[in-house]
Amino acid sequence: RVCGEREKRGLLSRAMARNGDGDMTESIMHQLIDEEALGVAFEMHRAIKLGYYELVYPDESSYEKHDVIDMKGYDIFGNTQQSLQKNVDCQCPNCDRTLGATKFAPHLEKCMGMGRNSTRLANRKNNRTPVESDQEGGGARSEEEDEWVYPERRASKKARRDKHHSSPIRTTGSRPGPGRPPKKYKISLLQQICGVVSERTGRLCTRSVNCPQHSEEQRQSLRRKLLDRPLDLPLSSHKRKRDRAESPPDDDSDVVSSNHHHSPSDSPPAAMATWGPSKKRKNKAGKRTKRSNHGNSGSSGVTTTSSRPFSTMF
Amino acid sequence: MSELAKGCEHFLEYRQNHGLQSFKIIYKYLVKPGQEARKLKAKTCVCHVCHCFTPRLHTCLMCVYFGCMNPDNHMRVHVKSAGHPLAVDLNYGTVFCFKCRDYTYDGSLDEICRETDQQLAHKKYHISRQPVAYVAWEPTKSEMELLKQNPKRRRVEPNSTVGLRGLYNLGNTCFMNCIVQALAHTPILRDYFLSDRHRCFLDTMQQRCVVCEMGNIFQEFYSGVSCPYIPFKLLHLVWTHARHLAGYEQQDAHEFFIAVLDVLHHHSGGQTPTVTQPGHCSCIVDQTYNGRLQSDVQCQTCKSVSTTVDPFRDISLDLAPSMVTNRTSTPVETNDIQSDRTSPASSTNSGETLLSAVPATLYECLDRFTRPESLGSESKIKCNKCRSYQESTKKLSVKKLPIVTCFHLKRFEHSLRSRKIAKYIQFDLEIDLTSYMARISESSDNRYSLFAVVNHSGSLFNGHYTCFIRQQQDQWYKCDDAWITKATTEEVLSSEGYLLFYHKKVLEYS
Repeated sequence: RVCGEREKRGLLSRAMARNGDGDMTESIMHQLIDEEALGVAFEMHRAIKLGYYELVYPDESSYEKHDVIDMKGYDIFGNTQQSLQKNVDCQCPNCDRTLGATKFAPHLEKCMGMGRNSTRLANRKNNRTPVESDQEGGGARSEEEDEWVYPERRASKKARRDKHHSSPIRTTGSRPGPGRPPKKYKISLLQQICGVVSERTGRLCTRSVNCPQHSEEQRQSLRRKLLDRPLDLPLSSHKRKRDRAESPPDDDSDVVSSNHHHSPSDSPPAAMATWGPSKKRKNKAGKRTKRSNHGNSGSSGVTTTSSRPFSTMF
Repeated sequence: MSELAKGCEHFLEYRQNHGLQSFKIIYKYLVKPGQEARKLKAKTCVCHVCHCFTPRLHTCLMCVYFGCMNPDNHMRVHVKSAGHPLAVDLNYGTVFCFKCRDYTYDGSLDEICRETDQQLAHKKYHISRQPVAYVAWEPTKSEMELLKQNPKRRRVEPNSTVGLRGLYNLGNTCFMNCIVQALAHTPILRDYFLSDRHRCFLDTMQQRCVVCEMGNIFQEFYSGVSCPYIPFKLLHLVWTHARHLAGYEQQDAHEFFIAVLDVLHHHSGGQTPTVTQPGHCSCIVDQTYNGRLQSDVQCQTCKSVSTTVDPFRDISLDLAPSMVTNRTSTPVETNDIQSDRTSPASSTNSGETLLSAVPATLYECLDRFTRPESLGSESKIKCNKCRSYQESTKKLSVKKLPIVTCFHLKRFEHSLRSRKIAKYIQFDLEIDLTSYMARISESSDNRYSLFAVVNHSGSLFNGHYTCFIRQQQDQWYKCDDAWITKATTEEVLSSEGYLLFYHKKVLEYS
């Protein structure tokens, strides 16, 4: 504190009064200390008077003891390696499943649809957030709905769908392709599978075009709805159906109608139906396996792959 | 704060009859006088009885009378004679009631004191920011209830585990654990989060804010709990927002560090412009980690220099052996950077090119980083003065040092043959970065203190991250995922070092 005139005079007078011409400096120092001590005393007095002293300045016994332990074989908290081995669980924020903590990272990778072996199930769960590392930025999070939702569910879907041009689905590798599949994929797909929506599961029927369970009218009405026009579907024999499934569709195959723009080279390498892990379809497991063996060049009929058009089914 | 303070009945009676104007004047001119008033105080404030200036001088609240309390209590004389029971201490402005024989506190008095202090602070300090007079904290009624209900207290002491916690490995996430440990022990971040300064602007119900999660982690670290924490939420949030990082394979701690800072910056509100620097973000991440590097490109022909400034959040130091040419011909060396340290590794003879070895110390790495290098004849820069492409030299220096500087030693080489440079690089506990500044100003203090070291052990593809962190002044702990043990300073300084975190010792008002 600045020592003002008054202080000097006062000190002087007092010092003279008591010590004569004694130690002035010491006197000044004592006075300054007294004044500061007074401030502390007032703080304490106020705290006591207003009732919060014990709460804000508790005594030693209310403090928790957390001493560091520095002994071989123990960590600073007193745990042993063994005691830390015990299984700890956590809940995945993505799927709400409880799992062991040590397995969390690999699970999360698959759950979020990243990494090499995750399914498109995961991608769809996250509403098609872009997964590719070479896509635009980690921040781009598309909140778009799945484009292959059956039209009945989302009215404006169709308009939106046709507006988008899609980014090309990759022809190599097993990485999921970004963006929406173009119209020709839909066309190509609907030339290969029955496609009628099953009432029980709400999914498109992935049997062949001649699937006995659904009628032609059903198929055509579906195509009219999804593609604005009916498709000429072959009433092929069983043999042809198998052929088609095993070899890539050709330009002059009877599947193609005249006003159809599809060409085999454009068809997705891996076809469209995603089987995905589905508990409900256990009984069809056999069929699924058989079909999945058909993918040779990748552009054959119904193969299980990692591209994703029919993701709405799951 | 003032709801607790209710004055005694005598004071209340006085206040009802006379108001608080006198008190206001007394407080303003006698207790907290400005320059002019102080002179008046010095001349007139002496005890009316003994004519001395005594330690606890009081003034009567109702008339002009000064009296001392110690040692002779001349104030009481006046109280008896005039019947005025209230007196104000001239040092601190507290009111003494002679009838109650105790000091009394009242909310209205506190209000006046606070106002006056604030005005005084305004007058005294002529800076653009609003000065705030210091007001001691007092609990409100509800806070007192809370304190009563929770009688246990916890504090950070030397040799206490409060502030330390292990982190479970979620499957090769040791890189994340080390960075979290380094962040959790960064003093300035700790102060920010423990004083609850984060105001979340994201939807808190969704719990997607990484900054909130970081605050949560601090709470967990200081909870005194002894079992390790499971940082699964942070992993999920960082992977959600930095997709390029995502994936289960082993990852680089430095990459994660940069990604975490980035996400924290974005979730802090991105652009939070300040009054003084619109357009500059003032989130805690930028304030702590952002520095600026100055790059001077000098044309060899006309010697003109063009300068650019870029921000940085960490400094990556090259370790690979390099070609060093003699630079006695270039005047670039005689610029205002004084490099006091000689780099023995790159000592040259005139006219020769030498292959310098891997640097041996952190300072050598920094010397290398800031030394002027010729850009070569292949990459000529267009000089504005010469108006043509000329050979030039580039020199890096630090324009602004951040509060926390992270040095990244580039130990992983991903060239034709990917390998790890495992050579030991010596670093100090305390370093001084003054010689690497672009401009040395007299007043700046550029000393830094080491507080965290992240180490990588093992090979390029199969390794494990551990870290050393500093708690308190000189206590080091080794963090190996969930296993935390005490470590010595020697252990820390003799470790390999991959990421070195230094904290500024003296924080200055910019």
